[in-house]
Amino acid sequence: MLVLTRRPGESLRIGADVRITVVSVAPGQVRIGVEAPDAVAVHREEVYQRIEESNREAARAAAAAPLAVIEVVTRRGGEA
Amino acid sequence: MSAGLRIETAHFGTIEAREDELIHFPGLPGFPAARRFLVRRHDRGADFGWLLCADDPALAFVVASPWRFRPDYAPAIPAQTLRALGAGGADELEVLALATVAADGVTLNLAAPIVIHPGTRRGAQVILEEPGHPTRVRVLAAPSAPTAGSAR
Repeated sequence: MLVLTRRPGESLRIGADVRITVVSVAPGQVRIGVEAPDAVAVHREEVYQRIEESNREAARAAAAAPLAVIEVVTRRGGEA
Repeated sequence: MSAGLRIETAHFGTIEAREDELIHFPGLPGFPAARRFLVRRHDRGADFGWLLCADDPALAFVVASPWRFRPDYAPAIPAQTLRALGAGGADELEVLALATVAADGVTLNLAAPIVIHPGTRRGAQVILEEPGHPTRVRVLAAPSAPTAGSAR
């Protein structure tokens, strides 16, 4: 991992269109500002990881479910 | 003119699709290379459908309209997402929740809905910032008829 030292108010550039700014520093806490294009989603790591795991579980379940279960679920509310 | 496309699926065999039916995503959390998806519904009025990945035949999600199960669901779609999808407002978007189908029931992920703009055919999974939207909202208990104890 690249490690750089920055002071409050100083920034980093990542590529041409992402800027990370250290907004303030307090004991045990850093406030960080992110400027990025709309298509670049920015999330807290632990939040993102929770969604990754939820997605993987959903995909695993869909792949592993017996066809009978899938049929019941996907046809529920249909013509019956 | 739109090129035809064949998607080999685990559950439905080969599905034929047109290129202009595909929804383009910037990947999904956990599946960064999954970029082109197809939405398929079984029957008119069915509660669940499928989000099928055209880039990875093994990847498919069961999806549902969250409002079928949670009529008061009110996700705040960020302005950044609206711009990225080319949407003027959230009312232009189709919203789907990823479902996890297990033997003991079905849960919906309401923390990170799938949003699709039908016009631009761009989609994204939005990770909602506001609290109060769990990743596992149980909407059906034991959907599978053939569970232990039932006649087979």
